Amino acid sequence: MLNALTRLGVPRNYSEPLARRLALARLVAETAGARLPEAFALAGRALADAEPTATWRVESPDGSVALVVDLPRFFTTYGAALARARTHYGERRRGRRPRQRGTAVERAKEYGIDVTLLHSALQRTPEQRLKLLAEDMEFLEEWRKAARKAVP
Amino acid sequence: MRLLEILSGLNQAGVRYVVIGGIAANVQGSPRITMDVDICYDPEEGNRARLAEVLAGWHAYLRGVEPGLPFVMDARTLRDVPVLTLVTDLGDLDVMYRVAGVGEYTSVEAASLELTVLGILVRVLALDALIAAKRATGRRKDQEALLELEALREERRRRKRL
Repeated sequence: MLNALTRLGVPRNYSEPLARRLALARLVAETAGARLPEAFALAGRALADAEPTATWRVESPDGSVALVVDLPRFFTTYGAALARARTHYGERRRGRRPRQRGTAVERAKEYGIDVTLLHSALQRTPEQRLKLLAEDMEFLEEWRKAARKAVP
Repeated sequence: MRLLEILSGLNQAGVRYVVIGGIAANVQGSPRITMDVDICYDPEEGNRARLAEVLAGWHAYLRGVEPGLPFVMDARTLRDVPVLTLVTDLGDLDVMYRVAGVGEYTSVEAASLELTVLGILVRVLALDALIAAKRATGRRKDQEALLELEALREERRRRKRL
């Protein structure tokens, strides 16, 4: 990413609109075989000029070559990647896992996990657990709604 | 979150899927409460089309993305995007066709167990596969859940029960 920005001579102020333009530029470069600076310029034009819910079309000066971008399809895949990055991003733990000592229950207790909650959950059948979870989810959702109303 | 409505809706549409993530962990005995549903679906063409239709009917949109960005909820989007994190009329729903640490749908289904809750037949990922999936993500936030799942497995083996 930083290499691409350097090649394009773009300041390294990474933002969502810039990510959007780079994503489209990369797609155009890979699909049409355009050089990255040209693709970046085309992407800028497409995103600035075109109606996002329609296709965008640009032709060579003699009209012999046309590039058509399906913008709704592009926004769908780009948006999905953005949503995933925002909701599932987490720093990956690097290196080896620490050496394990004791039993799994002992390690969990040492970490601070309340294993008595596991014991009580194991008293129920899987069906009972799922039913209880469904009820809890609905109950918590009602609490959330009430909290949203109470806190303007 | 209307969990049972989501599951019965998917079943009625004939979607083949396995419930994974926090709900599967809860079913195995984890005391954590989750507020979203994660499923792994069979990416076979017909199944993808059925799932896309159900999701479109629930007005699925990308979670965490500002409203207004064009979004096409169809079978092609499911084919092109391995993981979709969605908000729907029935609650938050993440759909994917492979699970890190477990594999493609066929492996996920093979590593699942079937149960019936309030007349709804549902497949959930089994504990060993859940542990493998948590290990594969390698995220810090999953470390606590991983320790808990490993303790749960040990405890279940000791008690010899599900």
